[in-house]
Amino acid sequence: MTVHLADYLELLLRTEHELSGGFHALWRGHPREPDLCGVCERLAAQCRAHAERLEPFQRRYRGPQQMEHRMEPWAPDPAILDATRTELQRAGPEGVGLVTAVRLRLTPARAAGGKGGNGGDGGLVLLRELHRLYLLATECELSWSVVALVARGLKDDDLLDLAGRCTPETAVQLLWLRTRMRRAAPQALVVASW
Amino acid sequence: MLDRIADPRGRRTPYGPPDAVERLAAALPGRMRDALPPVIRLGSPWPVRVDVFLEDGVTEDEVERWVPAASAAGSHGDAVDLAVRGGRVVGVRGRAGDRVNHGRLDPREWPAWRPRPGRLTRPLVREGGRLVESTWDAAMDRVVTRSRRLLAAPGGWGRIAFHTGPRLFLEEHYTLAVIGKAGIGTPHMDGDTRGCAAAAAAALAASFGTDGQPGSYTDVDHCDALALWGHDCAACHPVLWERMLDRRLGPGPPAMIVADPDRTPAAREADVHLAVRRGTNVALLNGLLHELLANGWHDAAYVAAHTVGVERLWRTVEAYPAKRAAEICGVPVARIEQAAEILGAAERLVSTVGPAFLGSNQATAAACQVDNLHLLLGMLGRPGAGLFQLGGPGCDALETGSAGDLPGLRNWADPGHVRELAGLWNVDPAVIPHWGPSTHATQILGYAEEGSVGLLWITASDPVSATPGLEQVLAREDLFVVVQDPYLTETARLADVVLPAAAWGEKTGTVTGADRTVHLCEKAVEPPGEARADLAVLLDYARRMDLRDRDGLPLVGWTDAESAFEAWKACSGGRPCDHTGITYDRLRTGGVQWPCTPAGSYGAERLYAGGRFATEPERCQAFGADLATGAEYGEERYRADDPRGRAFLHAADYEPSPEVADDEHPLVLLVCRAQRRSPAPPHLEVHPGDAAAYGVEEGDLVRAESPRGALEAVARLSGVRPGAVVLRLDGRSEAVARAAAELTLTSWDPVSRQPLRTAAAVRLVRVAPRQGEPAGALTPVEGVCSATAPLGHGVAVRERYEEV
Repeated sequence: MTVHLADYLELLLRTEHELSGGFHALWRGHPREPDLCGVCERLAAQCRAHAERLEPFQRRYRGPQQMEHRMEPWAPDPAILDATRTELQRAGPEGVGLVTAVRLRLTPARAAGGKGGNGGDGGLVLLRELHRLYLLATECELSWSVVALVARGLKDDDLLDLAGRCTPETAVQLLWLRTRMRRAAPQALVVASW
Repeated sequence: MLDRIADPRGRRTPYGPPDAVERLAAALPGRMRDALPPVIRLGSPWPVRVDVFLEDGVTEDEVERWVPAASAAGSHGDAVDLAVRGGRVVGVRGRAGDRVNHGRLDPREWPAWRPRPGRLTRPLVREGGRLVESTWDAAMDRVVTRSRRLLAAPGGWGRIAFHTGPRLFLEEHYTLAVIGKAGIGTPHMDGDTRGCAAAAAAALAASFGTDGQPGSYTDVDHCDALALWGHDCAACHPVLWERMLDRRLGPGPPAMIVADPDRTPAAREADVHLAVRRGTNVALLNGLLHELLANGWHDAAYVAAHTVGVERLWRTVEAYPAKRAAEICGVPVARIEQAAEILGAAERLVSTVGPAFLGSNQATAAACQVDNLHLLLGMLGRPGAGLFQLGGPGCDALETGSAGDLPGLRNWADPGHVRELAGLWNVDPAVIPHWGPSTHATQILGYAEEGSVGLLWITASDPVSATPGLEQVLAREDLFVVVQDPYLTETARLADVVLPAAAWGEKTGTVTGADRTVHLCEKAVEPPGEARADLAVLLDYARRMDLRDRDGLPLVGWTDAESAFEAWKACSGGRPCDHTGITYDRLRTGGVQWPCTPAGSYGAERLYAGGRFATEPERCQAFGADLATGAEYGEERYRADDPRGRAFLHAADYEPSPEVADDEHPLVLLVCRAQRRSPAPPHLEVHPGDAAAYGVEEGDLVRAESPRGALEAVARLSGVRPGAVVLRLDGRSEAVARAAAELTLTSWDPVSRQPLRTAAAVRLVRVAPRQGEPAGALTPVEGVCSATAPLGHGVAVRERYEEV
C-alpha cells in the first residue's frame, strides 16, 4: 500500500478539519458580525464534508496492516474550538503575535470603550483570523491539486472525482476570505488605529 | 369625489388586451413611435379612473391650485396632483394622463401626504444633554467643525458615515453621493435601501449586468400569464394590483400564479396558489426550471443566443424534479406541474417578485431564479414580457450612488469607471473609495458602535424605530449624530444636531418609480418655520466644508434642483440609466422612463429588447459573486465567461434556513409592531387550535424557542392562522424587541448583504399559568401578519404598522 500517499491524505484531512474548526471559531468569536454566521456555518460544514469523504480513501491507501494509525474521528468539541481559536490568534511561529502585542498595548480607557469585547481592535483581530484561515485554505487547495495529480497517476477515478468537487469549493472559500478581508482591512488598519 | 373610507377597488374598470397592431406598435423604439397617431402611440387600453382624496369639508371647486407631484406612498411611482388651498396641501388627485396610474391612487396616498402635527421648524442642538432650539448657522457650524476635526486625522474619510431614507429626491441623493464619494471620500454610505431593495438590485445586476427593472407596467396590458413571486401585490402595490385585477375581469384574462406562504388576497385570486413553506423559494423555482427544461418548454434558440451558463443551471436543477421540490416546499406535486405548464405555455409572461422572496431565505439566489425563468422562456424586452423585482423604494439612491454603489450604476472594480467619475468631478481618482463595495448599513452601525465612525449623518430615515438596540449606539458620547428630518423622530431625539427638513410638496425634485418612470415633484407650499429642503442643506454643507475639485473650483457647482438634475444627467450619460434626454420641461408634460437619450422624446419602455444585455466587462455593474457566500469572483473570471452582452443564468442549490418550520420547531413566529405606546405588554398571539395542542391557555406565560434563542411573553388566543404565532411589540419593550430581533434574524443574504428578519421556526413551551385577568378582546389579525413579516425594513413598512 502507498503509505506516503496515506500520510499525505491524512495531512489534508487534518487541515480540512482544522479549517472547519477555524470557520466555526471565527463565527463564534465575532457574534457582532452578522454576515459571518451563515457563511461560516456553511463553509465549516463544507470542510467537514471534504474530510469525511476523504477518509475512506485514506483508509484504502493506508491498508489493513496500518489501520491502528488511523486518526481519531473529529468532533466539534468546544475545547478543540477554543484551542483552534487561540491558535488562530497567534500570529506566527514566534509565539507572541501581532494581536497579542496590540492587546498588551491597549490602554484601560480604550479597552473599556469597546462594547463587543474587542472595542476598536475587533477589526484587527478579525483580520488576523481571516488571514490565518486564508493560509489554511491555501494549504488545502494546494493539497487537493496534488491529490488530483496523484489520482490520475493511480487511475483512481473516485479520488479524482472527489478532488474535482473539492477544489472549486476550496477556491470559493479562498475568494470569500479575500473578499471579507478586503472589506475589513481599510477600516481596521487605517481608520480605527488612530 | 371618492369616499375615502370606501374601498376604491370597488370601482373596477375591466379591460382586454390590445390588438396585434397595437402590440406591434408597442414594440417599436421610442423614436419611431413618435411618428404614429397618438391613440396607438400612447397605447394602453387601461381605462382612466381619477381618484381624489380631499380633506374633510373641502370640495374640488375650493381647491386653488393643483401642483404636479409623484406618489409618496410607495415605490410604484404614480403621478399625482396636490390640491393647494390657503397655502396648505388639502388633498391629492391621481393624474389622468399619466402612463403609470391612469388617474388611480394608492389608498395610502393621502395618509402619506396629510400634514401631521409635530413638524420641526428650527434646528436643534444638544446642550447639557438636552436638545435646544438654535439657528442654522450655529447648527451647521457644529456639523462642519466636527467633520473637519475628524477629517484632519489620517483615515479621516473612514470616520464619517451617511445613512439615507427613501424620502429624498434624486437630486438630493446625487448631491450627497458627490459630497460623500468625491468630497469626503467615505465608503460608509448606505441607507434603508439595504433593508429592502438590495437583494432585488443585486439579482438584476447579477443576471443582466446592471440594476434596472426590465419591464414596463404596460406589459400587464399585453400579458397572457401573470406570476407573483412572494408579492402581496394588493398590499404592496395597490395600483398595479388594480391593473392586474382589471385584466383578470376583462376579456381574454391572463392566467395567474402566486407563490406565497400566506393566503394573501393575490393568492385567493390566483388560478394556482403555491403555498410554499417559508424559506423554500429556491427549491420551488428550481423545480419549475427543471420542469421547463426537462419538457423542452424553454426557448432554446433564445437561450443559445442570449444567455451564458445553461449547462451549469441544468446540472443544479436536474436534482429538483417536481416531486422533490414539492416535498421540500410542502406543495402538492400536481400544483407545481400545473404552474410549470402555465409558464411553459405562456406567450407573454409578467412576473413580479416581492418581499416574501426578497426578504426571505436565499433572497438574491431566489430572485435570480425568477430572472432565469424569464431568460429560459425568452420573456424579456417585448410587450407583455415583463419582469419586476419589487424590493421597495430606493431606485434613486441606487442609481445615483448615495447608497452602496458608484453613481450611474458604475462598477467599483473597474478602474475605467472610477476614472470616468474622477474626470467628471475633476478630482483625483484616489479620493473615490473604490477598494470594494461601500460599507453596508449594519456594518456602518457596527463601526459606530466600536467607535471608528465618529460622525453619522442620518437623512430622511428613522432607523431607531426599526432596529432594536440602536438607541445605545447612537447615544455614545464619542459618536456625533446629525439627523435631518421633517419630524422629531425617535432617531432625532438621540441626535447631537437636528436639522429641520422640508417635506415632499415643500421642495422640488424628481422621483423614479419601479418601472423606471421619472416624475417631477414640484414645490406646492412653503416649508414651515425655518425648515429647508434637503438639497439646500447639503449644498450649504458642501459650501461650508469648502469642498473643491482639482482646479480649486467648488466641487458641487449646482445651486438648485434643476441644476442638480443637469449635473446628474452628465453623470448618467452613456450608462444604462442614461437620463440625458430628460429635462424638467419634458417632465412637466408627464413621466419619462430611463434610459432616455436626446434622440427621442420617450425613454426605452423595456430594457434588453433583442436579448442584448449590459454584461460587457466594460459596461457591467459588478464582476459577479458566488450566490451562496458572496465571494467576489473578480474581473478575470468574469472575462473568462465571455458574456458579450449575453445574460447570466446563475444556478443555486436550495439551503434550508431556521425560518423553515419542521417537526422540532413546528410553529412560525412572526413579529408585528403594534401601535406605539400601547398600554398592553408584549404578547404572543396563538391560534386556539395550536394552543390546545400545546396545552396553552389564555394569559399563560409561554416561551417561544427557536434554534437561535428564546423569548417569553403572555399568550393570547386569537384568530391568527393556525401554525403561526404573532408577537406584538410596542415601543417600550426593549428587551423583548431585542430578543425578537435575535430570534428572527434568521439569515443574512451574502450577496446583497441584506439582513433577513422574517420569521423563525419555533416551538411553544408553557412556562407559568396565567396571572390576573387577560386584557380586552383582541381583533383578529388574519391578513395583517402576511404584510408585516419584515421587522427593520425602513420607513415605508413602519408606516404600514402604524395604520394597523
